[in-house]
Amino acid sequence: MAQTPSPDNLVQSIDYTPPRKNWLDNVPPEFRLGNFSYPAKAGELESFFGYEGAKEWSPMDEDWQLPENWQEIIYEGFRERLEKYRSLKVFMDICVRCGACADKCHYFIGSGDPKNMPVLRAELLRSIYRKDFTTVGKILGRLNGGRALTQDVLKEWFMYFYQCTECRRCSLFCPYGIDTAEITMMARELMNLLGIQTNWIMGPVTNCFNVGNHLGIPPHTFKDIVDFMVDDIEDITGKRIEVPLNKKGADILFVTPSGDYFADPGTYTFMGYLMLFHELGLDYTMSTYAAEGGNFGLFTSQEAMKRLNAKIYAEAERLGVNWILGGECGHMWRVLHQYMDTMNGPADFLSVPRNPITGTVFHNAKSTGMVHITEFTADLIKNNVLTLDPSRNDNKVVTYHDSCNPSRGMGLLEEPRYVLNNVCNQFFEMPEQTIREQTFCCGSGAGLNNDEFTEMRMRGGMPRANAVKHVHDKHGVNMLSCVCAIDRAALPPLMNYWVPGVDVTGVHELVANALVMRGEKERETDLRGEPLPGKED
Amino acid sequence: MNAPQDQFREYLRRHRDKIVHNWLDAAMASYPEDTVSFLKRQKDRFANPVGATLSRELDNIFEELLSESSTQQLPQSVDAVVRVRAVQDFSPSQALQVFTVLKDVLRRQLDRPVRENGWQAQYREFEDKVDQLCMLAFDIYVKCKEQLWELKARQAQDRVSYLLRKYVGTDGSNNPAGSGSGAGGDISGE
Repeated sequence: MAQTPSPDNLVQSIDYTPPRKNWLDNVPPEFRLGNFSYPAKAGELESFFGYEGAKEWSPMDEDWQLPENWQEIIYEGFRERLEKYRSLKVFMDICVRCGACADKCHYFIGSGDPKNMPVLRAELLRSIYRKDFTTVGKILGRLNGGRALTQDVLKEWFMYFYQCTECRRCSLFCPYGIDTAEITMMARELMNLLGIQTNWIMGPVTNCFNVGNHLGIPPHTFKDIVDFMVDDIEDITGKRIEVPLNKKGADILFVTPSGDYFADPGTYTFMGYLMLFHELGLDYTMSTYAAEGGNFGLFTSQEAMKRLNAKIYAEAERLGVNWILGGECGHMWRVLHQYMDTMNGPADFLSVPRNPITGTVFHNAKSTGMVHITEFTADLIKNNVLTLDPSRNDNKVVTYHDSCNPSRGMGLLEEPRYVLNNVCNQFFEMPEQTIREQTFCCGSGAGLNNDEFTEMRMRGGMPRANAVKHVHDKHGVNMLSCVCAIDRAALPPLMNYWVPGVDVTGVHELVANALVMRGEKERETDLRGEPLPGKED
Repeated sequence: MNAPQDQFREYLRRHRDKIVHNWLDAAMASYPEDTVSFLKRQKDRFANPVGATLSRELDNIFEELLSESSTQQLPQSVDAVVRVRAVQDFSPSQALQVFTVLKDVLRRQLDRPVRENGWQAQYREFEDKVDQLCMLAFDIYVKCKEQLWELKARQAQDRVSYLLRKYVGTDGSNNPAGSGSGAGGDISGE
């Protein structure tokens, strides 16, 4: 007769260790509400990519209703890209799986899921490459780390390449310089060929293309919003300012992410730009056609990125400006800095950017004709052009989050800090292994800042929040500054969950608080309508 | 005087490091093997916030259990652990297993000394404390989830907060979750 085990025996027999499996024996990942981004609408795929046969589907479906020849489509797409991009071929071949990148991904660190180790995430694609695109792989197959392309593999791609924020922190540690973000981009491009795409990316792409910005705000509404801001600025400063829109012959075209004009706290940063430009008497214009600095095409395909980016140069040429000034945005700067020139350039109709106030020539921006606003403002401060009263920010104890793309993607490290140190008196850095080139991503880049993905983002943003918590506890930091619109949308909920008591701001909101404008009234509040230090009663 | 109680606690204190070490091992075993080696190996708390939080806070929690009455440190430490587990890929019961495994660890460590010294009553009492710890963790877990749902629900509005304020007239002041929406309607100029 079988003996009934005692409770003690039962408890002791429980093994909490998950079963060890070779990752190649892929188990299709479990999609459940909350751990994936919703798929794109079929209509948007059709209208933008001319994609035929797009279906409404859910990642939770067992059968993804792929086209009959889907493997062929992927193989062809892969082959084409391997030929087109030498870098992709090198990245596929060169990895020796040393593991230097393995523990550098914020999504791995926060989730503990090994498939978020960049090396393993890349292997999801590389295993297909090995089996079907290398001679050794064709012969040795699995022994060479290759595997067949099945629907389950595709499901893994969707799960994990949409947990990569393309922040490139892992690339920093790769001895071969493999750009894992570009591997993610390629994997997403391949999935895009099958209409596997997310709604939060595809919606903004079509809105941006058809109307001019992510939300699809039409020109007259854009003007309305700017007018609202002008009213707000007048209330705070007593100064009525002009904001030129679509002005032909202006010296400068100003382009910024649309998040800055419809969502707090980005709106205060936007007001900051307007106040600064007015104070300088800058001959600039904004465009209602190129009303979006962000480029969600970067998260879909090179073709989409190029089409959206083209609007900036087209509008610069139409308006006849001399150069372009870009606002505080993250991935916008990756596109502008690394792809724009070869993708839609050369911009031979533009001049080498020259600050009309200080005379500084931005030789670094000679080829693209685009200057980052913190480079511009740092130059103004360096030349003593601005009257600043940093004590107006004395109720803010500030730290700075290096947004991934400006820091790692274009080396913008000193300028924002120089500006911050001139506009506020209390500034503290987070630990060095979490800032500058080593900055931890907000967890929301590359199109992951959608509502349904919130919980996942709390994992991905955990390492960033952890470093903020450190300076919050140690120095009383209550304001997290950044130069990215996605950050400004993503960091407030992240702070709310991990570090309550820390608010989020753009750098130019702090600039505008400190900026003493000629003829302004005595300010009582900051841009948020909160009392300035000493004016609390 | 409560001699057996003192002796029992003294025993726990003497073996504290081993118990906490075993507890941490059992807690970390809920992660895949490749992850466990990282969680244990990487000592930099900024490079490994999950490992650092677990090792720091389980130690704090055990210290609280050892003391006669717990302090404010206990809910803070439990919150730190649960906050992490609540956003990771665990079911609710798996997430809180990190606390229930302590009973298993204690049983293994204490089985013989309890029998030999007749500490059954003290042991049960201590287990009751662990049960209370689990209940506290459950409350905090639900609170974390509620906060996440709240954040999720607010996000759609926060994303277009300026437009709502100007066109619809909501000022965000009824927004308990929106740390980024400090502005009231008073700057609206309306």
